[in-house]
Amino acid sequence: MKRATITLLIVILTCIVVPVLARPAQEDTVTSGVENKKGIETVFAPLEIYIDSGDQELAAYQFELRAVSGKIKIVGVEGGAHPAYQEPPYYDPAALARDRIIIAAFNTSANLPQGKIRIATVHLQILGTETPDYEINLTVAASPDGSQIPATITLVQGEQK
Amino acid sequence: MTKADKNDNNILFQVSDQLPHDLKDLFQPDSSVSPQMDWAILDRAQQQLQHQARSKRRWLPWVVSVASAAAVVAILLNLDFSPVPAPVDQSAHPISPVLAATDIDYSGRVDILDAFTLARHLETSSQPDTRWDVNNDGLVNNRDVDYVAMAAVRLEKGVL
Repeated sequence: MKRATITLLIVILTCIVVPVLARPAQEDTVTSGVENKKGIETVFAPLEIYIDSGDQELAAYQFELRAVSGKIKIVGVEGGAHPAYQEPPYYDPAALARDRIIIAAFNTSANLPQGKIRIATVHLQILGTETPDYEINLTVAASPDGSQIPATITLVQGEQK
Repeated sequence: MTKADKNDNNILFQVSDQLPHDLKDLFQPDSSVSPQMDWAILDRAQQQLQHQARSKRRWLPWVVSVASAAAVVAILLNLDFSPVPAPVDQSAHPISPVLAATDIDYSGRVDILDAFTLARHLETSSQPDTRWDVNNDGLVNNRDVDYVAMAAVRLEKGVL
């Protein structure tokens, strides 16, 4: 009886402990430019986003950015260079710590940018040594009357830290 | 009581002092154990202890096996074997009422142009359309604009 109880206790403890141990451990806190406890090299880098609306005024934009290779985490989003887009744009906070984000902003004022401007900066944490590749898709570029305008979007990766 | 009866009683209580010693010698267990018996008892005890130890060792593999099996079952139960959901065919599903409410320009999708349209409407209209109280706070204001904009950038948008 006593032996059976001990066996039962061992089985129950194993059922509790093993699944906990089997779960993937949370990633360790990383510091810039050094290896974390798992030996993964991490660096931080800004990704500057530019939109060129030509001779049209840019009253609203929306784009989606995601990493198609490499391993990144989005750690922050910053506004752009022009006064109309200096405020941080709209984005889903759930995108932080992920590799995909939708960013959008608009401005109803009369002072709107034309030509090529930096409209946002996305701050990334790059995990590992593989250089990430990104896919960026401009879904909205609109003039002050709300109509879509032809525009191009480009990104430039800033200096890694 | 007669004189003869009194004499009989006196006889009954007159026993020898040797009687207790004799009785003790007669019924006391023999405490002396021969060395052979001693060795036999020790040998038997050792055999019993070894048997118990063997029994414990015999149980150990069973306990480990059962525990391992239980662990495997527990791991399997914790793993998610649910099939990956197929991509939602948006045309086959009705538009969510909540998302539809944020489709301000009725374009069929929620994007920043909806927030832009609502913001322009608020700037130009003295009495905003109450249909655009998308956050249901009883007011149509910039909070509704923010609500629509956040719906536009949400990663999991649902069907719109």
